[in-house]
Amino acid sequence: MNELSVYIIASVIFLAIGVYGIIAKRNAIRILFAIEIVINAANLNIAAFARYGSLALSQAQAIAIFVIGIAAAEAAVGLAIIIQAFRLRGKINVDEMNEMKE
Amino acid sequence: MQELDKDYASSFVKYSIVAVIILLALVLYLIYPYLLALLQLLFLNPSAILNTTLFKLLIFPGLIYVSIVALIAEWVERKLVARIQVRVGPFYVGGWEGLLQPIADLFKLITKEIIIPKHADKNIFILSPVLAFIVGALPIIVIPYSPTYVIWDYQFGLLLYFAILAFYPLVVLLAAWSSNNKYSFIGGLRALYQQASYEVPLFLAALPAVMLAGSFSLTAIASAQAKVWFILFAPLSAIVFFAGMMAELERIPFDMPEADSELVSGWTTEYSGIAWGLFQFGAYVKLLAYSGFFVTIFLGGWQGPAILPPLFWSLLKVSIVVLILLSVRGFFPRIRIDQLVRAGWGRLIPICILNIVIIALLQPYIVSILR
Amino acid sequence: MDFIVPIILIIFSSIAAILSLESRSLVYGAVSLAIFFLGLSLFFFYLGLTYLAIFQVAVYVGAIAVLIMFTVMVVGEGQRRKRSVPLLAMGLLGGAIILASFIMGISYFFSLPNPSMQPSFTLVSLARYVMDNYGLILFILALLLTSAAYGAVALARREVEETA
Repeated sequence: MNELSVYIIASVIFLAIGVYGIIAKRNAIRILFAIEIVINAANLNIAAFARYGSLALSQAQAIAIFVIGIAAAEAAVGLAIIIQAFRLRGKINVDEMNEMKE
Repeated sequence: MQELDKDYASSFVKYSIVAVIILLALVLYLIYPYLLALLQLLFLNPSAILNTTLFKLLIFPGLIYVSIVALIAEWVERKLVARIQVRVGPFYVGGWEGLLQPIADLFKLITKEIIIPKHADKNIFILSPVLAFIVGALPIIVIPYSPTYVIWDYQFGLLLYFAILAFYPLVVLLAAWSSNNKYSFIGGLRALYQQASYEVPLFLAALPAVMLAGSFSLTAIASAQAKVWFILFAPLSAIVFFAGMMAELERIPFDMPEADSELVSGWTTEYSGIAWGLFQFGAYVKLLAYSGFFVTIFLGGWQGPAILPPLFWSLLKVSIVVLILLSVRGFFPRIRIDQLVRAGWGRLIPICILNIVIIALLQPYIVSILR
Repeated sequence: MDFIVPIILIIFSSIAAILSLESRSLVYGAVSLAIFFLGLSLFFFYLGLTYLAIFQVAVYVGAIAVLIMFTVMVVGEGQRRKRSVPLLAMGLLGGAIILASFIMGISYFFSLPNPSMQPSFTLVSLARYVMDNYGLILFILALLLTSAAYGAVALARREVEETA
């Protein structure tokens, strides 16, 4: 069990927590929390390979910076959709939002 | 019943004294080697203690220095603004011109009761002033007052400043929401708009200094200004950084979230006693920290003629910047929130970008001047 | 025990992550999500990626956590619903399957030898690397972020009532 495996297992633990959140939560904002947790798990994996694997430090940081930027864009758009859905329907519960027309 | 209470009190005192003595003995036993080393340092070689990180963190450019200067800055502000507005300011407390007024305010705030609103979120209500003070005081660990007086010479010190600056709107939102008061929540949202709108001009305005010095480390940026200060190459960025600093500190003219005549006290309305005191104190500590950054990035940090030590020059420059920041309060009226946000996004960002383009085109020549 | 620091960080971050999903109030969930991001940043710092650690704090905690907190406060708390056991069971099963399958699949990496320490990098070397190899992608990312900001504002604005 070398150092690399500890960080890979850490990343997989966060991935599992995130997947649990995406499946088992009904509030749309909690699902967004879970998506952010999954993205951070992927970043941790890249960082672990930079230190203990064969990825250069500069390369890993470049990849992780792009991942963080894309996650920021996706969180902004997702939250705007949630705000508008709340304004139109009055509640955010993904089980009940299954029709396009009210 | 009173005899029972007296017995309980005396036995409690006896047991607690014994417990404290045992605890002190345990702690002394554990830290004995370090204590011995510290005492040897203190008595055999007293000037070496000035270089230890503990001294730097607690006393000189750290906690005690910042607290004392924050108190002095509060007195100076009230006196200065009063004289600008043709009145006297505090003059009752203390021997000469109300010098002990901030200490009197501190005592008053400590002895006042902290009233927690009925349906407020107690944990977040008590946590927000503490968090505001911590987040406001954290940037002082990277400011260099001289090549040796820096608590942590981080390779990316300026980026740490931006990260901590970006953390503050979260604290404001928590404080405003936990008050359970619609109007203070509106004040908190206004503070959020203002602080988030002026973060990007601040980041962009600090970029020319990074481009010219080649590193984010504040000691490297200050060392690169040995011949010419960066304010001569990036005057527009310096003006934008100054305006952004005033907006982040919520000083007049960017006073909208705290509009005294409109929203009582803005997002800190429901806080009373030492909780409010911590917000104000944290604001002055932030003032000192941000002025330190302005001096390091644009005014050359500790560079000055070699007759006087570099520490003197950096303290002089920080004092001048703090005085200018405090006196602006007396000169300008308040800017409206929509003018504020429009200025932050629409007018300051193009000015910063113009300056960045100029620096980028002239960089080889400037770097050859600086070497 | 060699791995004491990573294990402490794992426990801290996973408690923060679980709290952010399971806490009763959405605001506490947003705060513990911000604490999770801080825990990740400590991970990056310990692994030697100092620039990424500060970048993570500045973008995730400084921008995304503030945005999430703002949305949570504007939208308000949802209604309390009864806990649905089938959904919870499906979620736990999904998480367990992911955990087990990934750990089994990556056992190849457990026996690799440790590589040598890499030289520390500077800002200039990182910037040169990004601009040389990923310059065009940086430009496209800037366009993506601008269009995302524009789209978010367009989605979330109120319709202005036309007064006759």
